[in-house]
Amino acid sequence: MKSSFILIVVISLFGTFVKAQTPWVVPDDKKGLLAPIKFSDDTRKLGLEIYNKTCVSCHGHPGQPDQAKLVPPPADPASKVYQQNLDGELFYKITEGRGLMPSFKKMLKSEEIWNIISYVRTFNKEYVQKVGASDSSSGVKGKVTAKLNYTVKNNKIEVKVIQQINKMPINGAKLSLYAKRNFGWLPLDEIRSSNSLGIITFNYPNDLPGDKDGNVNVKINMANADGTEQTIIDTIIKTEVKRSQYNLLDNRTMWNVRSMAPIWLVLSYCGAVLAAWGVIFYIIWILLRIRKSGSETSN
Amino acid sequence: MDEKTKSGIIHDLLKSVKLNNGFYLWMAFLSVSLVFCLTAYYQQLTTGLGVTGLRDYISWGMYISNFVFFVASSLIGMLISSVLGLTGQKWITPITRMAEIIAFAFAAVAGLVIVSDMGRPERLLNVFIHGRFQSPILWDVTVVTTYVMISLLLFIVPMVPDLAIAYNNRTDLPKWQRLLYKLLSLNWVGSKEQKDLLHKAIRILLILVIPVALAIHTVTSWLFAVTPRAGWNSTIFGPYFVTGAFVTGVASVIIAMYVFRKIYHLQDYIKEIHFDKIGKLLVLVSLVYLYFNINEFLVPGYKMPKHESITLHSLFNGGHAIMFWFVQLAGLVIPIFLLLLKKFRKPTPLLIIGIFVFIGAWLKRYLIVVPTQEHPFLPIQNVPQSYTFYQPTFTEICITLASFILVLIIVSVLAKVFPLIPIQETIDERNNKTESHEE
Ligand code: HEC
Repeated sequence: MKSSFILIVVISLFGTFVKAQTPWVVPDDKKGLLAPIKFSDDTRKLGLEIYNKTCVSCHGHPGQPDQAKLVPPPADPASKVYQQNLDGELFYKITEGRGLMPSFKKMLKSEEIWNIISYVRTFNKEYVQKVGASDSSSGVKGKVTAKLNYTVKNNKIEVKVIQQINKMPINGAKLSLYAKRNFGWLPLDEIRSSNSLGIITFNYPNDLPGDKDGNVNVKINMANADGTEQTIIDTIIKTEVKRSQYNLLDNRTMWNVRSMAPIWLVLSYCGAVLAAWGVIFYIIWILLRIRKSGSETSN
Repeated sequence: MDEKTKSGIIHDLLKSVKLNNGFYLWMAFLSVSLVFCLTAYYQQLTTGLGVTGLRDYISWGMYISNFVFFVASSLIGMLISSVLGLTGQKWITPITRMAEIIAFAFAAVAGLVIVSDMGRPERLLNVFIHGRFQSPILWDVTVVTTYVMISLLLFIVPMVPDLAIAYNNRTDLPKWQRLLYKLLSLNWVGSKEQKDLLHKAIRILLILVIPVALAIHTVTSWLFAVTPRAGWNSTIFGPYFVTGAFVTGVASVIIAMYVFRKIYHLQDYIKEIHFDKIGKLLVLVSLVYLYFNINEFLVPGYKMPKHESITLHSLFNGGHAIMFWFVQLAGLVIPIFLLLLKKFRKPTPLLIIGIFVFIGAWLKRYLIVVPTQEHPFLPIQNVPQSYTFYQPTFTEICITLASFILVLIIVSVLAKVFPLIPIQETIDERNNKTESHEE
């Protein structure tokens, strides 16, 4: 579901203007990035799961020629071209994307991407992992706490980010705002940087429907140095836009389940069946009478 | 010739009921072919529907076309016995039972054809357990079952007096056959009470079968017409299917008449006049069907709405054009013109025309079912090439052949074991005729 959705969006966005297949150059400072975790069977297992959910629709099953027919072609992870990427290069390509290759930085957490890499490396016998420094994944050093404030009046969301240890405001943290919808997280507003007081103000749309009480699940992500994002706030705000909880499946309709079939239809169906089979049984009864009458006559 | 005695008629019409070597040979041939074709079904059952040409986009192919064709052919029982019978057409007497046999055989096997389209046939009962009243599929299953039952009754009930005659006159038959006659003849002695009851039962059945037969094929058409897809999204699909069904059915009866007349030597009973009449009937039903075809294709063809034009062009001058024009011309227009001439309504030319109409009718169902699915609203993307078109596989063809063989088996057995031409009615009719002559 997810991957085919991405497929459609990505194809329609980029498919038209990416043509030439130039080598995909990863900036030098990103090439050397290393996984902060040691690859293990656990990470490989998690990686396999994510791969099968998110990547398989285009890249196929590693080692099998079932890649999607796109231009440029998505490489087989078991292939040499793919494996000769450094860990940092893989990470960069997966987070940033190019053309038909989607950018996964908003979709996947950095650990998840490392898990995928640990999985695809199982198709490279010569691969030996180098583990990187553990905190290299965060753009902001140390743990972060954040507070969110929503004011209904002017539809602004204000966020304040501070260091957890010393309660100092963080300057220049890059945050983005999302709202939860039926099919995933919808990005709202643009990526914004915190000021010297650690404060960021997002514009919140005034027409985004919440649930029947106007509640909306929003989250704030902070960008890491490696390009991925981490969620620092995931909360529910109460807005004024309420959705009328009118569920189409509450009524008896044609498209509903059997127990919610329109009454007239149930009656027509049952009536027709009863009528036809009633007559059939009546005929059988007549036949039995013919039989009986015959045996009486012959006696 | 008309002056045959009663015992002469009985003798003639009961001549065929004894199983003979020819029959055994024919059945052996059919059984062997059936077993061969069923190995294909075994393969499908164990491997899955992947052995067919059906894929995600074109998921209805030969089986469903064949199903529609079978349901269509089965409508003939209703046309001959009820519509013509109730309006007092006398010439149909010798072919009513034949029509009922064809109706029953096609309707019964139609149900099986549907099962052959299921990858998991053991889940068939789910249709009843979880079936939604809103779904034409449930209506279809219901009405097919009902129609099979009514056709069977329409075959047996009018035959009751004949079975008594057969029981009394053919003492030389094997035990099981005599027992069968005895059981089904319901102690028939021909008393007034029995005659009245029988008459009543037949009349009710003849009336009941009309709405049920209309329903069976209308519902089959709704399987398509309730989806808003190019080529199916039509308000006249119900009558279009029903009138098409009459064409198919009449063609099947023509073929059956010719064959049984030859092998059972029924020239004294199925005469040239019967061929002449049914030839005219074929013209009539074909004209009505042609009228619906013109509406079905000319109206959208005139407008050529964007989403329908792809399907329409594939029929008019695209990939399906040869089949389409063959069906329309050789299966409909040319037969109509030829049959207007008396000399083409003689048995042999009529048989040949009937065969063309029959084949055309089968292909027509294919053209209704398949091309629409090749052009879905959302473009077909990122799928293997083989998903974008439909080509029946050998397995599929074998399984479809199996259904035809099954129909042949049912028709052959019923037409052999039971008197094919109504005896009592023939006698009554000839009596009436001579009586009116004497007056
Ligand atoms: C919509 C289809 C699609 C999906 C889904 C997709 N990719 Fe890609 N991927 C591509 C395409 C197309 C390319 C080639 C891009 C180019 O060269 O411009 C590519 C290239 C890549 C490359 C670079 C290969 C090389 O030769 O250097 C990597 C690594 C990669 N993808 C990993 C992934 C991972 C991991 C996932 C799942 C999280 C994924 N892709 C999901 C289409 C996809």
